[in-house]
Amino acid sequence: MLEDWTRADIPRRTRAALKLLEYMTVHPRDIDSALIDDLKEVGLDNLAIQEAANVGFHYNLITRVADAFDFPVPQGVQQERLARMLNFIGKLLRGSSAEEIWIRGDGGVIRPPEVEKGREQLLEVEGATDPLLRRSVEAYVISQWGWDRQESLDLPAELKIFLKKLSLHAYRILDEDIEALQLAGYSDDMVYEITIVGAVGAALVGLEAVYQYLYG
Amino acid sequence: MRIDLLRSEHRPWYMSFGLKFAQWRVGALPGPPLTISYKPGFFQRDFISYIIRAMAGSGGWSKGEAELFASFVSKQNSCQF
Repeated sequence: MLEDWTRADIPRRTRAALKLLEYMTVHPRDIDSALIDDLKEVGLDNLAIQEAANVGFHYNLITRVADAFDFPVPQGVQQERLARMLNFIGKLLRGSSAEEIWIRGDGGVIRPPEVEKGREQLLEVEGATDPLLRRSVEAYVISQWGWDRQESLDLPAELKIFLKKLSLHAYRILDEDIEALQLAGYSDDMVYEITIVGAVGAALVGLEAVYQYLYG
Repeated sequence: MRIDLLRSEHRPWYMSFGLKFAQWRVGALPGPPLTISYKPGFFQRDFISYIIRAMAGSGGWSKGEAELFASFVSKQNSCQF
């Protein structure tokens, strides 16, 4: 069914959600009010769109991290056990629900409040990399999708090569890309921080576009 | 893995213990908890809760639909995970 979802025998709501996820993942710049209207026409309300977009954000993030770090891929029953475990961790961590559905972050960009808080922490918390570098990493990965975000720093070439892959086609990241960063003096902690910030930034592109047309 | 996520000076002992338990329970080292626990101070608690929440099925979507959405996005990204 994943091969040709447009013709698969699935409910119209589900097909509409897959369309949204494809836009978020492959061509987020084409998300517009007409797409959101199409989704609503088949019965998706704002909450259903938000929560499908949440899964899209989650997996656009995790797949980039998995490809960059070359995670071991769980097989068969391991996948089910991992899903149950993540679900359990999610329940343990369940904090208070945000009162607002969305907030405006810097630059007036609309995001879910939890995402904005998480993003600010990633960018500002003390780490092996300077916050200014992290903001530039985020701006660079987002700019790869055609959005104009001002980079504060001119990033070095080896970092741009890695971030471009991370943003646009993370499955092409090779051992050599990480080794190039390490040879240039980046510690494991620095590579880690840059990868997480970059993956979150790239995953944000689709989510922000959806929220812009839902609430902007 | 390309950086050694198992060795972390930031991971508290109880997370190391939890990872060992997870490895035993899942049958492999689970990448997402391994990554988050490498430097837990990097992640805001509500943010983690948010990104995990949808996988349980919410907003009128079932757990099965959420899993379908996740597989679909992985495939669109040409990712095995």
